[in-house]
Amino acid sequence: MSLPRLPRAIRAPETADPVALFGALCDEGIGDGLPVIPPTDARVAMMLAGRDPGEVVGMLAPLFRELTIEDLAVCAVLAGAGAEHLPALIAAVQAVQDPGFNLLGVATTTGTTSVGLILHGPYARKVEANSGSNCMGPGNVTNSTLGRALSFVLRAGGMIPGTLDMSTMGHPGKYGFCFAEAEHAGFPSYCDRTGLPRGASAVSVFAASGSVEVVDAHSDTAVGLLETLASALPTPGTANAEGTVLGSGDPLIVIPPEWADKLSKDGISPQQACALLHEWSTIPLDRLSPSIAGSLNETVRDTGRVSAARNPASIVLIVAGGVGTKATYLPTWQGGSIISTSRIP
Amino acid sequence: MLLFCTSPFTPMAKAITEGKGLPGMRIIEMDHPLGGLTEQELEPRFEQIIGQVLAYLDGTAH
Repeated sequence: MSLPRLPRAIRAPETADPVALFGALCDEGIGDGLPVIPPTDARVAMMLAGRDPGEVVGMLAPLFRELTIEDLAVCAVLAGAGAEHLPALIAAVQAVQDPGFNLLGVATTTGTTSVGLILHGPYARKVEANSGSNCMGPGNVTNSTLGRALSFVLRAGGMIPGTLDMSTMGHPGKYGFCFAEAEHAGFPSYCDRTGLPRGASAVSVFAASGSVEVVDAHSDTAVGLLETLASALPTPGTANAEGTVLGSGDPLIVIPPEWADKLSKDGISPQQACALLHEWSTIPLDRLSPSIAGSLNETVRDTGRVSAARNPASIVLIVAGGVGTKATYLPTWQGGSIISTSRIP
Repeated sequence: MLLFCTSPFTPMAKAITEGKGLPGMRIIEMDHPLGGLTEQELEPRFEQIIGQVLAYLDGTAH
């Protein structure tokens, strides 16, 4: 099996034919099938903005090749990102190396898993990332190019479709998946809740197995909304390998500002919301098929119930999105992958 | 040390072991799939590899 070049070896002359370039990158396994911005010397230098190109950022699974700042800069150029996006890309690449994120598993699984990132704090506003309407969709330069740049880096690390990325189905999020957390006066930000200094900027990475829309235009209380949300979390066909929870047990839940308004108005903190979601997302085993119920660990079987979350603290609840009363549940990879956060300097 | 995988995963296994600095890792390959098979269906997989495993253990493997 021939491996793709390291990104630092990809350089295009000013006169490069962009069509030929992106075709060649796809043939190598690093391209995503879409046109790229040719990484000329000038563009890469502008992206580096004086950084040491040889500084090592890490050795990413599954190939464990050493990737440098220059590799990341080339990926960022290819994806159409600007120099202002490189600090977040570096932080995201650090975050995916958290052992709990389990990049080796995430990158090579047959599961439907895409690596996404969430921007938090003042940095997200500075680079005009979209935390509002259609934040997980197309149209915003930061969201689109930063998510795509990370996917280029992951393929440079070996997440090559069909050879090392063995996903049975794949997922559109593999092209790039990035959005920003919204600020909400009544709902503490994720950074504030995770012990980062007040006003810090950060990026979180997650391994999403698809996304689920949760709609509730009927509840007039926060408790009602949480009951609806909790009912949507257990996915009976996704017991984890240890047979202890449904899905990964580390669900990522994105609620819209209107839901955050209601939680805030009813005096329910994010921690209280997560505790209720954990309790209410525990379902009886007769909701599962016999074979899945039988695959669960004995302790869980003895209780007669199984949860979609390991514990309240394993639920990540953040605010994003536009008007409307639709939340998004992002089940994370059931093979086991925690959401990992890294500060953006 | 032996590494077991079904054939679609062999290129991945080779690339990962090489990346981890184990280029000579012995990979025992069997037909795909393993998941969802009955015991009876699994038996040919066992027959397929047991000779290679024993040869490795008694030092006669090439």
